[in-house]
Amino acid sequence: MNKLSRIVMVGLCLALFAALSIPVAAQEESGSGQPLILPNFGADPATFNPILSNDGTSNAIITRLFPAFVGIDPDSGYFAPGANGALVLDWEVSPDNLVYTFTLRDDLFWSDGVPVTSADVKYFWDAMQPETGVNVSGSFTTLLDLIASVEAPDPTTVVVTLANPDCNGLDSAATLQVVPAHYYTQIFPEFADMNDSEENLNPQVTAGTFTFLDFRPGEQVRLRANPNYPDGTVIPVGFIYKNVADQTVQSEQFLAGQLTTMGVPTARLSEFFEYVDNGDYFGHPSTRANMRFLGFNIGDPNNPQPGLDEEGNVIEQGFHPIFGDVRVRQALNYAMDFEGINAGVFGGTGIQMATHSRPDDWAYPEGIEPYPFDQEQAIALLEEAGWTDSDGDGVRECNGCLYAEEGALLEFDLNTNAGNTSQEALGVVLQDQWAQVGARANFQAIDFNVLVDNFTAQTFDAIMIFWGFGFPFDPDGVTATFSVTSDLPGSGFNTGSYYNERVEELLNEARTLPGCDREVRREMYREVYEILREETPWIWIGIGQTLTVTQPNVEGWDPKPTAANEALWNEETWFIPAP
Amino acid sequence: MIKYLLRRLIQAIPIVFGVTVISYGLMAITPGGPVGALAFNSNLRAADRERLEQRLGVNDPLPVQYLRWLLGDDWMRWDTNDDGLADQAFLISLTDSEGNPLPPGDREGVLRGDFGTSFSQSGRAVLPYVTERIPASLELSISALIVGLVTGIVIGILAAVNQNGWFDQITRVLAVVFDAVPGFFLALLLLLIFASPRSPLSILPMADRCPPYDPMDFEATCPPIHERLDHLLLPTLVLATGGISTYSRYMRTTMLDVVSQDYMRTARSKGLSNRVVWFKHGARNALIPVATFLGPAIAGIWGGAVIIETIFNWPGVGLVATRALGARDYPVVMAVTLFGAVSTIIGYLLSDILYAVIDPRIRFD
Repeated sequence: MNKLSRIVMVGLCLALFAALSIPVAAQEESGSGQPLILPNFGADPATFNPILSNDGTSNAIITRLFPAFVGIDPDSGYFAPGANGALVLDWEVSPDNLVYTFTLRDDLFWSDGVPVTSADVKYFWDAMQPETGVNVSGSFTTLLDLIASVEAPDPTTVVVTLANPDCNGLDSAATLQVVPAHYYTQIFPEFADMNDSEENLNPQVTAGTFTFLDFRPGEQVRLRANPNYPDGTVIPVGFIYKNVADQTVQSEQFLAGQLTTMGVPTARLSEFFEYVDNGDYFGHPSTRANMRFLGFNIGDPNNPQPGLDEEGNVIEQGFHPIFGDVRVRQALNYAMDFEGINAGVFGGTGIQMATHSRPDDWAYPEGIEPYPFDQEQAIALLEEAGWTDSDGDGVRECNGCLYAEEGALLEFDLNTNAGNTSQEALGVVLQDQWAQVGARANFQAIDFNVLVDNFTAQTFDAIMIFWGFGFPFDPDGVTATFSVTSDLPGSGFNTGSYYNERVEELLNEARTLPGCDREVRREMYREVYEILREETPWIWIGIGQTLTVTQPNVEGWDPKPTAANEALWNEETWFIPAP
Repeated sequence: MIKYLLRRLIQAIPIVFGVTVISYGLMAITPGGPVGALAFNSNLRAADRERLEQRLGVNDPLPVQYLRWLLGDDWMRWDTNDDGLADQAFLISLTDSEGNPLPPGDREGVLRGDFGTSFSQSGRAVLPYVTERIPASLELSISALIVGLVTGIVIGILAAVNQNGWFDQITRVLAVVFDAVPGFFLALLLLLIFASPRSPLSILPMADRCPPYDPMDFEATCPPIHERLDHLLLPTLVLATGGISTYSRYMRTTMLDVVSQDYMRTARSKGLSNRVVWFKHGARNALIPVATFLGPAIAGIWGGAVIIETIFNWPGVGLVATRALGARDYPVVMAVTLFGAVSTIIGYLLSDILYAVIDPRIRFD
């Protein structure tokens, strides 16, 4: 090869290298990609103040503007020291599980240059105290029962003392919010000034992946990339949380390329699965959320009472005329044909549940199976419980049953929230399946507010609700719903007034176990799950598969089933080229 | 005229008052209150729920709630020794359910310009929350009103001129069809034809008042109206359709009535061209009864906009009303109701004034 050829070769190699490296360099610059556009299916955000936020829309913005206190490892799904974007570097727990000492990082700064410190966590705790008069979000007020104190002995240390030993204590501590104390003190001279301040919708001091740009009421919220984000480069130029009118419009906007990503409506799952199979879009199926359950009211719906009196003694709840008898609840569980439900409601992708524990939970009880579809067993149980069809009209009557009047029909109200088409379909299918064993369910989809009122007031017969799990998931959170302490008409979620002494013991032991050994706790929860399955206060119908789709030009999309936000956990690294 | 207007305005006061009483009553007796959904949290304690009820004021009897909305509560619970806690109360409780003292009332009521704070929007003041939507609503409503009136009147005149001709027959059928088709159905149909990415005629945006961002400048704000007429087109068309149907038929009828009048015969006998006879002498007189439609038209457009704004995600008052109703956000619903009632009254008043302006024979004294 002569000299000229070598020069040409070297030149070509350099040109090739430059051609390849320039786009990469561009992609690594903050704000070099097109914005992320996500649909907001709810109302406008109510506030961007983490202390007051009580709705999912506001939280969707807040999590992008403010750092988390304790972060979650996307690979394990559990709290992790030094997780990206979070304030806590590490923590220690006292031997008695009461005191958590958190060490904070010192390289995180608010957008006005002031460092993020322990004072920003302490401010949140101080604002929560009832005497401040702050309208604290209902999601946080429970912390006042769980946490005794939050101290900030130095700028990089936060000491959280729990009210009682609690194996779920880290979850409570991690709920603490990080807010710009120096700025809030300035704009809210009194804590209560924040209650109705318009400043809540104009957050000028933040420290998340994005900073606030503008909020057009009824239209969208826009955030811009934070060029000083310390845990990597925020590649999209911004983030737009755009209101969409309904699911039809949302899907069409996605197909038109106007949305970066979206959760596919249940009614269009098969269509979008086909698009994904054809390679038209990226898709991520998930079974984490979207659990459907049916709750029975076991106590007397005409006389709802709290589970405990003021001295902590258990109060007799009376009995629901039909569901007070466990055999009826079991019979209806046996009479439920999940195959039919799966085909009719979940599009064939659903998973039947035995309890509320999902297969990816650490306490998942292997081997506990859902009730099989067995109409004969259902009929036998109903007959044994004194419900027979003596007049041959297809609906059973009480002939020696435990709690209903003689001759009363096996007839009850079954409600769900109107507007959710898959829930409505589920109600119709169940109504039909139960009619085949002689139980008449008067199914009606009703206004959500009415449903919630009936549910929490404990005046319902049977209600179907759609349930999304919090994250990270600890079995104590949901399982405590079946504790007598949650039987509080008007507020608690043990709305069916379920009570089992052994379950109470196990829940308490598992929550306060010294050392919090997971294997030991797992066995305790396993026994709880076995009892719950047997006594069927709820029918855990199943989990429907959900699908998140993303435009095919998005680079860096890497959904992780273990991440807190499966499909979006690394959204700040996505690169969307200009069209 | 001024005396007449003053009389009408004074008469409107009990009407508005009646509307607010009935609206508040209907809203409050609707099953499913605001607290249930707001407090739907497995961790919420009973005391927190009570505190929430207390804060929203929904634990008081219905008449007291209405009075608070109308007149405020600073006269219901007040502080005489300046310690920040109330020590005197009238109609409402001085303490909470656990006997703890409460702060003095700070609401001034609608009559003093305080519309309260939203239940569902974390304490946002209702007045800015609703009024910031008015420009978007006006943009859509005025566009629809202009398109409806102008198109309807022109079609009505042409149909009358060509009585029983093909244009008259076709517009008659179309008027019946478009008057019968529900707005939401027409909206979805037009969206699928002109905005769906899978339609060959897809030339318009699916929804929204403004494009989400400018690809050339991410931080640019919503462009002026003339740069986003494509966003306005479909909702305006759907909202105007009912008006076009009604005005065209009404205009046709009044034009045909006018045709038989003596002055029209005189105009023709003077040898004036058909165009001058129809449009100068005929249409001008035929427009007088149409003016009476203006008042109901304004109110009707507000009502129709509630649905159309929701479908097209148009950030107007209608969208706020729909969501507030779903959330049982009483203060917001009441503000929108009051706004609608006042708009209706003003609309009818404008209609009367216009009637007098167009027809010199009309006198209100």
